[in-house]
Amino acid sequence: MSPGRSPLGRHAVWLLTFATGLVLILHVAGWLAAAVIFWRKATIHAPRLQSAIVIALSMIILDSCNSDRHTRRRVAIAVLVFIAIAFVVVPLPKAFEDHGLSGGPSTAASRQQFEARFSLAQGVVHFHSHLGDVLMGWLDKAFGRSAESPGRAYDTMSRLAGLLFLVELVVAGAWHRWSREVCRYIALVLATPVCLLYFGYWELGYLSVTAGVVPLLALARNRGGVHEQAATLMAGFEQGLHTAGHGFGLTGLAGGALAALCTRGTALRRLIASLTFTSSGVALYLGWIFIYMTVAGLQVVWSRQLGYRPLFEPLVFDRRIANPLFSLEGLGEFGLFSALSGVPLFALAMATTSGARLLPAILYSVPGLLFLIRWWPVSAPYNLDLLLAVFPGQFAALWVLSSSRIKSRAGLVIIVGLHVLLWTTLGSAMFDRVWIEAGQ
Amino acid sequence: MLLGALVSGGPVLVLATWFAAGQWRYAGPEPRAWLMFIGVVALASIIPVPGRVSTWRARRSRLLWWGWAAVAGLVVMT
Repeated sequence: MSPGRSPLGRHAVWLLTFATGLVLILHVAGWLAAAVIFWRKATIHAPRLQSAIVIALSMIILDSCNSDRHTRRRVAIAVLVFIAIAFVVVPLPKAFEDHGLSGGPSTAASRQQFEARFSLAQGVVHFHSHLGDVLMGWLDKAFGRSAESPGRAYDTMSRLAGLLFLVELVVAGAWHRWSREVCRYIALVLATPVCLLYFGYWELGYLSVTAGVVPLLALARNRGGVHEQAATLMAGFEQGLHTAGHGFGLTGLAGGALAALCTRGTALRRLIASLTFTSSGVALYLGWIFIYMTVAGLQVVWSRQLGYRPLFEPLVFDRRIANPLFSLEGLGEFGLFSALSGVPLFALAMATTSGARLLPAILYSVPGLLFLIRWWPVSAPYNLDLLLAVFPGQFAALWVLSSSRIKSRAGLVIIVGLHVLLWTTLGSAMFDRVWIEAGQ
Repeated sequence: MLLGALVSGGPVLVLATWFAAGQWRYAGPEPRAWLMFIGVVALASIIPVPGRVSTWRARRSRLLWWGWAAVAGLVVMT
């Protein structure tokens, strides 16, 4: 696609940008409501060592982008190796300011609780995170199915997911021949709060996160022929694999299918690109189920209920009060989750970019933007794996911002702010759930 | 001239006084975590990296920036 020209009509692009702008206004209103509540109740907490490490390493890659291609590649790979070591050496604490950071420790507290959640030994797999469940079951077995093995399985799973995350960035970097743009993208992605989850976070939602899809789809847009098809297929496979790990990847799958429509050429060619992405994604998302049933004799069950935020009246969901969207508390909570998931980066991309470059980012982000409005996370704010992974559009925004040095610097400043926001939220127990006891 | 000297020497002066007054021992975990965060990031900003301007003047300017950020954070947290 040539710069400045869009595959959709000019009016359609304008309408889409306008509609996304309207949705974004609701998000901005949420941020303002969250700011009011923070001003009244929160105590600022400094980002911890893990945040400092990812931001510091990100700055090193960003500065090295001024050097030649060979040096950029060396610096980026060295930093990725360093961060992989940091994932193991500097684990996240299990609690912060007397609050557990995740539900994992209570799941791993006893074999009974662990096996109720991960029932592979009984021949059962939960659909919402089927591949993640199977891997956890294998790791637990590999560590001897003892009282300590669930914790070791959680630790190992987080580091393995982190390694896959980094390998996908290397693939994207190599495919883009370590251009300045892709190196800036890698730098920004490494700085995002989502990277903290690979420092030994005890949940599985991070399995849905993939930062490799957006650069591959961008490559497919800008090159023709077999490169385009290979990059689209690879992007679909990555997205499907991560969605099999955890179902929250579905927003990325939907976004990727829409963004693939921005390929160069005729309407038929764009449709085929989208179908290529979708079919390869769905193959690696659901293909595993055939193997579970026929080869391993496993049973797949659906055991999850998604919480939806009410619009006007409070609702009791899973013994907890869900504040409505159109109330200060509800709007503020929505705004906080929107900010933590990276929507401010998307807002920055929209404010600083226009035309054809922005269109794929908008299409990739729309499913996540809409889902955030109605999603009510039951265990918030201590289910960071979902809060930080729910908006894959942050990666599309980072790709847009990585097009220039100044925009990527501005993106990094916002990311530093998100780290402060994250630790302040956890430290101040902001928007902690109100439980309803029996008889109340 | 005096203002320039204050701006460039200010963070060192404030932080040195803060440490000399024994505040590190009495400060809660937050000011300590903030100084640790700024320390790691400031260190990463001055180490020589290919493509980065690593003159003495550039490093001093970056350190100054992070120094003021450290002071501002301490003021907010304490």
